Amino acid sequence: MKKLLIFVTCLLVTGMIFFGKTNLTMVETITSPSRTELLKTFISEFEALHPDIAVELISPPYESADQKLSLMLNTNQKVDVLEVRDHTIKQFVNNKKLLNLEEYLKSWNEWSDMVNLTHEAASYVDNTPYFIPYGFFVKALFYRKDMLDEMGIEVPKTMEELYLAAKKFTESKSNQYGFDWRGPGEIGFTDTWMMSYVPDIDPKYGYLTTDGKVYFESPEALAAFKDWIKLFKDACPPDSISWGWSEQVNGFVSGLTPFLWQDPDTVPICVERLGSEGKFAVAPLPIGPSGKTFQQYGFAGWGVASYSEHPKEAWELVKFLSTKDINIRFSKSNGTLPIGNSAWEDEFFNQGYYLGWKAMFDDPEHYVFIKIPFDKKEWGPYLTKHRDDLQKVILGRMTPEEALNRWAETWKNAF
Amino acid sequence: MKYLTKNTDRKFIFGMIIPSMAFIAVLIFTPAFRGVIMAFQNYSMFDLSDTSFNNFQNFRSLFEDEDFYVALGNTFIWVFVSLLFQFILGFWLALLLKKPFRGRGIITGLVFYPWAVSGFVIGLMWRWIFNGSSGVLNDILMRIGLISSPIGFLSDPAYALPSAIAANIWYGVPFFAIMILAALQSVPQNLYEAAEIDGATAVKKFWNVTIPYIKPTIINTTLIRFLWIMNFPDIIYAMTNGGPAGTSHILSSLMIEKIYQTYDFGMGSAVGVVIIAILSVYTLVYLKITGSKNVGDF
Repeated sequence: MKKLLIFVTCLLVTGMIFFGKTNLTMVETITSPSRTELLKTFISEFEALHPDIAVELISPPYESADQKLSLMLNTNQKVDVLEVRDHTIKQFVNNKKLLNLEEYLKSWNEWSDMVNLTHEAASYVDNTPYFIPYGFFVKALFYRKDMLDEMGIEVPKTMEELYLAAKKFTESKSNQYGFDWRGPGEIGFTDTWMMSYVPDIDPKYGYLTTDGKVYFESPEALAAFKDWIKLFKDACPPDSISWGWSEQVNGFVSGLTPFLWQDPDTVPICVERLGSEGKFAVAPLPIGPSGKTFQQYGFAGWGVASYSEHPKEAWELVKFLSTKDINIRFSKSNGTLPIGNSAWEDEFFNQGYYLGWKAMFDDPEHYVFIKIPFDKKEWGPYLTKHRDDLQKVILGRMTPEEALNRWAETWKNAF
Repeated sequence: MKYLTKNTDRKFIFGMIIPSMAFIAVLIFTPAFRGVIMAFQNYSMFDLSDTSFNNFQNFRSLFEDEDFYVALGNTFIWVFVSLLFQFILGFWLALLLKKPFRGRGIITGLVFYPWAVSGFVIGLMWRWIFNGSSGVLNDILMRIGLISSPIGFLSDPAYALPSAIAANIWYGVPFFAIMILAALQSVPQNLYEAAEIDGATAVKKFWNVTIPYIKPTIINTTLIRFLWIMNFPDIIYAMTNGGPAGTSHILSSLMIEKIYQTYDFGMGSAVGVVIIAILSVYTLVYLKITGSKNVGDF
């Protein structure tokens, strides 16, 4: 009896080794209930195509998800596929936690169908493709069509027009303002405004001009910064110095401010709150005095852990999630801009709100996508420094010149 | 005490204590100790290739940072003002709830509600109440004619910290109410009767019977709450995130910012060490002043 039991156990173990499924662990970090559901649907479709692979999805709460993933990676816990974000990619690479996907990409036909931005973002760090983006966050001008029509105001095409239009709306006594300012997390807003005054921004390095100087040192940057503060003082709710995303959205949908700069993932909530009967629309960002608008772009995607025991299977999953059909479905629901050329041919992205973004993508002469230094160690501390300094300038506790000097000092040594 | 001298008893007690001590050592002391070590290391999650000891650099940067001193000062205001009002209001509430009245059970349940909600959620809720453009508080104040234009509760440095403190007081009152109510109900009725026979007034009964009897609860709850409030960044993190311009940071929210925003675990741990130092000194002084050894003696 005992021998039989040992025999059966051995048989079972051997069977599991030879015929068992490969288990993959996937960790997402921009967690939301609806997105997790969608990912689970994709995963079950993937599992149906690959019966020998089972995927476990880990979805930590959004607020602490990046931290959790960092800890999992740094302690070599089981992770095969992971969500990689613009501000986390460099630390993952520094700590040698991401697999170089170059070899895998060679045999993947769809890779050549991707838009340029996808190739650029994938190789953002060390010119090496460490992940496959699933989408982009690019700002555009949201405007309340109903309010503009009522006032007979045209959609602003330049930053100056935006300032004048926003000021026209502002009447603080009746709690009416023009532009939706962003408090914490504002850096993309401030940089876009300021850089678009400076004619010779180097797209490769973002914070540098073509002659290698930090852009904060240029006289145009100072003029831009002063105008930016003027826009706040003349046309933004004073309270918006502390506004996050939800207050911004609320300000826009409630009609407190008719203009808002935001990413495409803000569209669904605006449609939900305003309805889709044309109360709002999305236009390209206004052009700066330099004749160009330098656009930052945020990105996120899927990568493979360097220490994964099943890199091939993990790559299969990443590849599956990046295929055209899945990416289109994901983008429609997630609100990010899709990664492939053929995805942009989909009708959904060629109508309505998406026209604002499409116009910017189709006009590289005026809309230049720049690389900002997510990959420098100064970036994290700089975010808080920038936010605090900007607020100090608004509160009159620091001069614009002092703030720009402090920011220039940070980046002079970094490049 | 005699039985303790027996060797077998000692061994038995020791044996019983070991599992829980080991549990505490592994789960609490090891990470805490690791955190203290980290405060002296170059420990940034951004790049873990060099985590050498950096010659007190974390502490030097911290002590050179003016925001640290703002946060330090704010911490004391945050803790003392919150604690004082939480205690007074909690005590008052407990006294009101002590006497039986119709519907007391339901009212007690409702009163304790804030304590059951997460601090972060409370922060988010109060953030909307205090919103300077469309917040309900501004709306009420304007409707009753107390103000003519909205106050930027969270965007004006003069109001940001007080607003967070107000939310914190609201959150912490039920804790004191629960604890003090339980203590009040344990005061033997015959003590009051004896005091009445001696001709004590209500005020005298309160000071000479109630307070001494519930003194251990008061000492323990205020001590615990002091530690908790100091280590409670949730409300500030959700309401102001330390802003505007770092004017409403307390040490624990500054610590979170160092870790979450800059991934600098070394700096974050350095702030943590400062918090541990303050709390240790506070606990020793507090227990000494309150004469905790004699509490409850009559």
